[in-house]
Amino acid sequence: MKVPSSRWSLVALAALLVPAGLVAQGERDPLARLPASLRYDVEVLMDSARIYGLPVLPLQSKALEGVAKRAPERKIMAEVIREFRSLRDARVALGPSVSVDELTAAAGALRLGITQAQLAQMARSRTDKILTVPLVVLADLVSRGVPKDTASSTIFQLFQKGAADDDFQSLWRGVERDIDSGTDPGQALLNRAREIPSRSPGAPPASTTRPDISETQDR
Amino acid sequence: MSDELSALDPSVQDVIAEARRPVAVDASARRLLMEAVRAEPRPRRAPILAWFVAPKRLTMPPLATLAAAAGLVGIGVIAGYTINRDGRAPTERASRAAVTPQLPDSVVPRAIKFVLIAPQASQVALVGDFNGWDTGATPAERQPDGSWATVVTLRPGRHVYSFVVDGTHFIADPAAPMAPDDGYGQKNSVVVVAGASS
Repeated sequence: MKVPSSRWSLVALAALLVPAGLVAQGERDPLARLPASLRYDVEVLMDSARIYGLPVLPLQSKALEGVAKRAPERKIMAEVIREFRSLRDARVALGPSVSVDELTAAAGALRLGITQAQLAQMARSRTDKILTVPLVVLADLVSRGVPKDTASSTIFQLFQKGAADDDFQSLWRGVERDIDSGTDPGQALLNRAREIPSRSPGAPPASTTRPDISETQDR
Repeated sequence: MSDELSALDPSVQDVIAEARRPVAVDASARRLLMEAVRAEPRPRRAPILAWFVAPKRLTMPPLATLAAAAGLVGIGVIAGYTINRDGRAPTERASRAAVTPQLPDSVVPRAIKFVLIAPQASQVALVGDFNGWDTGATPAERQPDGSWATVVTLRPGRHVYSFVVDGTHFIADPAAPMAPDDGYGQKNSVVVVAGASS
């Protein structure tokens, strides 16, 4: 049987390549889930972030989060802009030599009312320590009702005293338990903070095993 | 041939003979015709590019066509995975490198188990910045004790996430630190995976 030619070849090629291309695009282009107009605005903001030297994934994630939570387009864009501003302000407070995780954690703290000055104070005392876990705990405490000045000053003092990530983790768990049992959030933090041993900055943490904050099944 | 002609009707033979008679062309008409031909511009040599854009007839058996198509798809997939091997956009890799030049090139992802106790739920999924907040990407499995669990491999660092119960209800992980207000009226959680960048 003679099958004519290039026309059939092109049809066969298109039938194979077009779906493959769409699948590849879907895998590699998460922004494809955004409406076209919103996508354009988000991409413009991501371009601006690149110019500022800011990470773009948090902006992309905030937009996709809004789509998943079925927020209106204008609300999504407002939140992406808010995230952009928080990252920019966090960068100003922390300086250039911080990781993306520290930057996003600091941006979250700023959105809770922690000031740039308070963040800068922590950054100045960080030496070679990482700020991510203290800032995550700080944000959690404020979200649970601990007054932000109490939370920031307590976390800062612990950080200065050389508290390790393990210490902040146990602090968070203890405060959470105390709040759940009815203790005033601010008082719960102050009580638990007194239990954290003082260490000279740079000293190794008390435990060598590290049941880090990520292992949610262990809590 | 002459035998065939002789077998034809005489009138047909006359027509054939007339058709075979040379046509007399006037000498001046022949000269005019040849002058007109010479006056025509010489045909230009076709440029090489014209060969590529001119329509061509390509004939391939269907089996060869399918094989060629599969080969092209394979090349594309291999190239794509080679370029984006770690699943992050090149721009994002560049920005991370600019922000944290002290980080090592390789960080080891860790498998993290997420658990939500929700015996009344009919389905639970995990969403977060690690899966693009795709509610269909990471379903949790019901456990015999009524809880729901899923394991996700995450790079070291801070991740924001939430559970989605029955497709619509976003619930923060009660066993994890709370993330700052998400701006959409829901609560998120934070996981910090230990590693170089945490």
